[in-house]
Order: sequence, then structure tokens, then C-alpha cells
Amino acid sequence: MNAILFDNSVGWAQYKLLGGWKNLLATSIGYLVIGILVIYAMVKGLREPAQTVLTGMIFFFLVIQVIALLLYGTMRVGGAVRADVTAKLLESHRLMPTPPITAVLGYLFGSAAQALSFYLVTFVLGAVCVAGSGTRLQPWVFSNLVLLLFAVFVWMMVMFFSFRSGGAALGFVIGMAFMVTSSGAPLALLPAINVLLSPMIGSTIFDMRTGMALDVGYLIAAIVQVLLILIYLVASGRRYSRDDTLSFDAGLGLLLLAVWTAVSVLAIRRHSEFSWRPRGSIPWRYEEIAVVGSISSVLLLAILPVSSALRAAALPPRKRIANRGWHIPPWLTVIAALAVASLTILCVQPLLRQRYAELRTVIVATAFLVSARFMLGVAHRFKFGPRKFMIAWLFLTWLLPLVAETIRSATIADEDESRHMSQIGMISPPGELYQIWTRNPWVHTDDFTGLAVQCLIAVGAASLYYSTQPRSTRATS
Amino acid sequence: MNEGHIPEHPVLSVERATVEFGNLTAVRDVSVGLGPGQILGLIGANGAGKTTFLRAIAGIQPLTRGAVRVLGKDVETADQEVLSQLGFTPDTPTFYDGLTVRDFLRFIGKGYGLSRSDTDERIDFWLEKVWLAEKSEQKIKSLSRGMRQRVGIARTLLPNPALILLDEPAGGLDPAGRVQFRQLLCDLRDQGKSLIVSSHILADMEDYCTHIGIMAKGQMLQFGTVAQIAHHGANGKCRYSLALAHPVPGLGRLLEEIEGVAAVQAERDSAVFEYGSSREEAARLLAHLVQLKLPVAAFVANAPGLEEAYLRIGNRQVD
Repeated sequence: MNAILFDNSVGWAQYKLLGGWKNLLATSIGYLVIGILVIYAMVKGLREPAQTVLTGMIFFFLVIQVIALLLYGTMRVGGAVRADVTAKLLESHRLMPTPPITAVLGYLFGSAAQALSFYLVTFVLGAVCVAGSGTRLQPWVFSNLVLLLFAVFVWMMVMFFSFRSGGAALGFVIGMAFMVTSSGAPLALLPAINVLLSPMIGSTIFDMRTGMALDVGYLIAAIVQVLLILIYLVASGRRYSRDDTLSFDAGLGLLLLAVWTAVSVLAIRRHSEFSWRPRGSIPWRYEEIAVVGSISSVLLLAILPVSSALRAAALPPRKRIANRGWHIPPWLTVIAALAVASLTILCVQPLLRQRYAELRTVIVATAFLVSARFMLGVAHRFKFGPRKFMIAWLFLTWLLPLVAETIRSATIADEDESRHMSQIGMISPPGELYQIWTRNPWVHTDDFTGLAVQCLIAVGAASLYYSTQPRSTRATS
Repeated sequence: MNEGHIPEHPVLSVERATVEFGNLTAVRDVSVGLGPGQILGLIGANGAGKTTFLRAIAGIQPLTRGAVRVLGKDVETADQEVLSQLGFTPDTPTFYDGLTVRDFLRFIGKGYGLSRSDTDERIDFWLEKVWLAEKSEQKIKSLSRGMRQRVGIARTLLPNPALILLDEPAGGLDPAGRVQFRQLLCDLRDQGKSLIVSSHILADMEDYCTHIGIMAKGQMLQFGTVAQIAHHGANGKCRYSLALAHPVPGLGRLLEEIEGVAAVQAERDSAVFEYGSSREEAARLLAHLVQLKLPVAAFVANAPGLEEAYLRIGNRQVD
């Protein structure tokens, strides 16, 4: 524990790069003094009662916390990793016998040391305002803790993606800006994000009046965040240790899928506990979109363990040993992923109660995962680059049919006819899922044609896979 | 391919190492072994695969095929113990430029699990050895290229590894620095360390290397002791350089007609060729050239050495 937190070489270097304890202490004390002067000036300068001014200052300091942790801290963590990757310092680090998890934690807390010191000072300043305003301390403490855990969760995500590509931190900032400016529109499609965005649960952490009770929603969000932090900690450790290591082996990928599935189900089933209260409940018509969006996201995420299982299976035995992890045979991974996906389907069915929806959705999921397994098999066989290949495959089978369907319905003059979904839309798994789950009777065409299309795609992928199998392998098998 | 002999208890053994980048094979089927107190000098043209080979040994570059073992353990599945026995200085070492030399080395010490006092002791020792003691409190960004190279060497030697890999270590060093560096390598060799040094300064390598490996197009063309390599393929011959006072038409043809002369590369007023290496043969050849009324301005017999061997082996086998 000492080596991880206090004697961490990477963390120490990052902290020294920020100027060490002298700089940290000087900026913290300077900020504390300025903060106290600002509080004093506001209380004395404004004509409002001191209690009113201080209550307003609590909100101000919470905004400062958001800026310190989510903007500055995130940029620091992402920037530190990217700087070491681009300067090839990461290679130098890899030569050191520092355990990868220790190094990753070093990046996490060392590079964010200054953000954390600002956070602590702001916490003290806010507590002063709370004491002066006569409000309870508990909401202030609680909202700060929720924000801190959320920030660590975000840092971990940003760090993981920063090992491979730049812009992860910027991406997060843009994503958050989009979320706020669109009043949380993506939440209608993926309610699971509600659970992860813990500061926005209920009346949000900014609402000090309603009291921020320690309700079950925050507890669940905290558990989910901790689970994801741990999963991404392991994955980041692997990404740190070697370039050719699988960050997510099939086992870890399945675990991530299971967590996301559970979060999706919780977010849909217990929507009122997680939704942004200012927005109220999701309108009824959006619930089916949430169901279809969540099932689609589970199916997309299920590609990860399947792809990892195939990649591991393609490695020579010695390389597989080097890729320490929980390797599961590809077909077993497909079955496990399907089982997890089916769990989502069974859990959300009681909400909408569509005819044979579970069975039909399981067929769609099976067809999709089988075709993904075969298409990835083809990509590995011909060394196409599985990620790009899969993106192209998803574009063709998921997106293009929906675009074509939209254009088709836009060009039909007859309003009644244009509401029906055609065969084109049902080529896309999300299109077919919408056809299965929607309560809009106009959308339905029939129960089985879409399923037949999905099964045909899977058969096509299997045919492609087996027809391109080298002859020697075919003879052996 | 000339496979390297692997000693009985090698510090390093590389078995049929192959590194591929898509369709390009950067290192092809290279096998090398190195025991304690041995220094292998890697020579080869730019792009021969030396750097990739060193990175593969360090475990930074994944192998496509083959295996690298340090102290009997596979580098790709290496535990912390193996990593602490392996030091690598790339051709352009990277640092946290915002840290002082001492702080950067302290960071390295922490990374290797050394105590603060032990680290400081080692920092003082190695900075003295690489002649940077007075720069210890300076920020790395203020150092010249040669000084950064020295910090890189100190970084590699700080944890006292058994196997040291140095890629173009003398690149940024001044002449005095090169002499001191040569001495440092000899000291390390005498302490029983195993080293692989990639360099283009062949004259220096003859001084400190025990073994030489010549690489070209990813292959290890020759591997052996310095003496073996220096005399390899000479067959009693040596390369001669001839310079004339003024151009002579058909110089190449004239030389080729002399019995025993081979591998002629002639310009109008100069030529390089092979001929018998004994003093008698050299005297006879010179007499013959004078007899042909060639205006000989300079006539030099290049003694067998690494440079000669490299030009002979490298040019002949690569192309």
C-alpha cells in the first residue's frame, strides 16, 4: 500500500513535475487566502444578509470543485499519459520493475495532485460558508464526495483511452458540454449514463436545499463507479505494461458487459431514482427508445469479449502466456455474452410487455453475435484489422439500412404507409429491435420477416467464414 | 545466416528472433548468446535492424517469432526480477525535462525500489562516472545533447543491471567524452557485466568489444569475436587504396589484368582493390604498378580490422 500511494515512482515524478510540495503548498495557501478574502469581501460588500450571501457562495465553491476536478484534473491526467506516450517515456517506464497497477495509480493521483489540493482547499472554504450560512454540513460533504468519486471514475476512463489516442480528455469535456446543452438528451437513448453521471442524479449535487439524502440511487451509482474504476484499472495496467497486450481479455470484457447490463437494467427499471429530477420522468414514448438503445448498447459491447477471445485464440501459445488474463474460447464467450444480453431483455420485458418480445430479441441477439463472431474470424484470418473491419460491418448492417429506411419513409407521400417500417429497416438489428419493442402499432409489419433477415445475415457471415477457410484447416477440421 | 554461439550460462540468449512490421521484416531469425563480461558490438548500415533488435531484447518491441531470455527467463513474460537486471539506453534517451538530473535519477531509483539513501549514493557515483556531477541540480531541459546522452547512460546503469543495451551511445559525445566512455565500457566489462552496444564508430568498438555482430536487412550476417570478424573472409588478402597524380584512362581494366588483383572499384585517378596481404606481395604489386608507368601518388595497404571486415562482409553479402 505504501509503494502504491506514497512511494509510487510515477506518481512522485508527476507530482515533482508540478513543482513538488513547495509549489503545491504555496498555491494551496495562496488560494486559501484569496478564497477567505473573497468570502469576507462578499459578506461585507453586498447588502444582502450574510446568511444569504454565504448560501450563494456554497454554490459558487461547488462550481469551482467541478472545474478543479472535472476540467483541470481530467486534462492533467489525460495530458500526463499522452505526454509520456508521445515522448516515448512510457517505454522507459516499462523497463522499470514497477508493477503496472502501481504505475497507473501513480498517473492517476500524481498528475492530479494539484487538482486534488485545490479540491481540499475549496472544500474547506465551502465548509466555512456552510458554517456561516447556518445550513447543514452533511449536504456539502456528501456532494463533494459524490463529485470526487465521479471525478476519479472519469480520470480512470480518460487515462485508459489516453494510452492509445490523444483527445480523450477533450472528448470528455465536449461530451459533458453536449450533455448539458442538450438537457441530457443522450440519457433518453442510454439511461445507464444516468447512473454513471452521479452528480446529476435527482436534484443534482448543486441543490443544497433538498438535502442530498444518502439514498439508494447514490449508493448504487457509487458501487457501479467503483466496479468500473477497478475494471479499467486492470485494463489500464495491461495497456501500460506492453503494446501487444490485450487490455480486455474475454473474461474482463464479459465482466464489463455484465456491469453495463446491470446498470442498463437498473437505469430502466428504477428510472425515477436516477433520472435528472429537473427533467422529470422519461415520457412514456421514450421508454421504448431507452429499451432499444440499451439492448443495442449491450450488443455492441458484447463485441469486445468476443473480439478479445478471437484475438487471444489467434495468438501463438507463448504470446498467450505473455498476455496474462482470463482467456475463454470464442464460442464459449459468444454464449456467455448472449446469456448476459438475454438478462437485459428478460429484465426490461415486464415494462413494455410486447408479444414474444423476449424470444424475438434473443433471436436478434444470437444472430448478431454469431455474425460478429464469424466476421471477426474473417478479419483475423486475413489480418484486416478487426476494429476497422467491425466498424465497416456495423456501418453497413446497423447504420446504412436505417438511413435508407428514413429516406424511404420521407419520400412516401401516403402518411399511413410512411409510418410502416419496411424490410430495409429490419436489416439493421436496432431497426428490428425497435420493430419488436415499439408500442406504436403503425410501425409493426409482421413478427417474423425481420427475424428471418437477421438470421440470413448470420448465415451469410458463417458462409463467408467457412468459404474462406484455408484448405489445410478445412481438411484437419 | 551465421548463428551466434550461446555460452553455457548465458546472461542473454536470443533464439531465432524475428520482428515484422506488416510486410516488412525488421529482424529476421537472429540468434545470439552473451555471457558475463562480454561486450557485443552491433554494426550495420542505417535501417539494418540494430535498434529494433535491441528494443526486442529489452522487451519493448514485441517479437513476431522467436524468444529472448535474460538470465534464463523469457523477457516477454518477464517478472520484476528480470526487468531489474536489464538496462537499455535508446539512441535518443527521453526524460522528464522539467526535472533536475538528480530528481530524474531519484525517480528511476524509486521505480527500481531502491531506498532514498542508496539511490543518492548511486546517483553521486554514476554522475561522477559520466562526468555530470556538477550538473546534478540542473534541469534536464538545459543540458546539451551529449549531456543528455550521459544522463541516459547514468539512468541505465543506476539500478546496476546484469545486461546493458546501448543504442548509439557515443552519438552525441565529444572526443574527450568518447575516450572516457570507452574506459567506462571497459570497466563494466571487467566487472562482469554483459553489454550490447550498437555504434557506427568501428575504431572504438575494436577497443572495448569482445564480440561483433554485423547486421544487414534484419539479418545477423556475421557473429564472432573481434579477431574472428576482423580476419573473416580475408583469405590472406587485404584491401589496397591507390591514388594517381593524374587521371589514367582504363585504370580499372589495367588493374584487373594484374594477376591476383580482385574486387576492383576504380575511378579515373584512384582505385580500391584486393590483393595479397603480405609485405612481399605489396612490394611486388607496387613495382608492377610503376612498371606500368602509372603515376602513383599514394599506395596504402589497409590492415585487417573491423572497418575493413565490415566493408568486405557487409557489401558482399547484403547486395
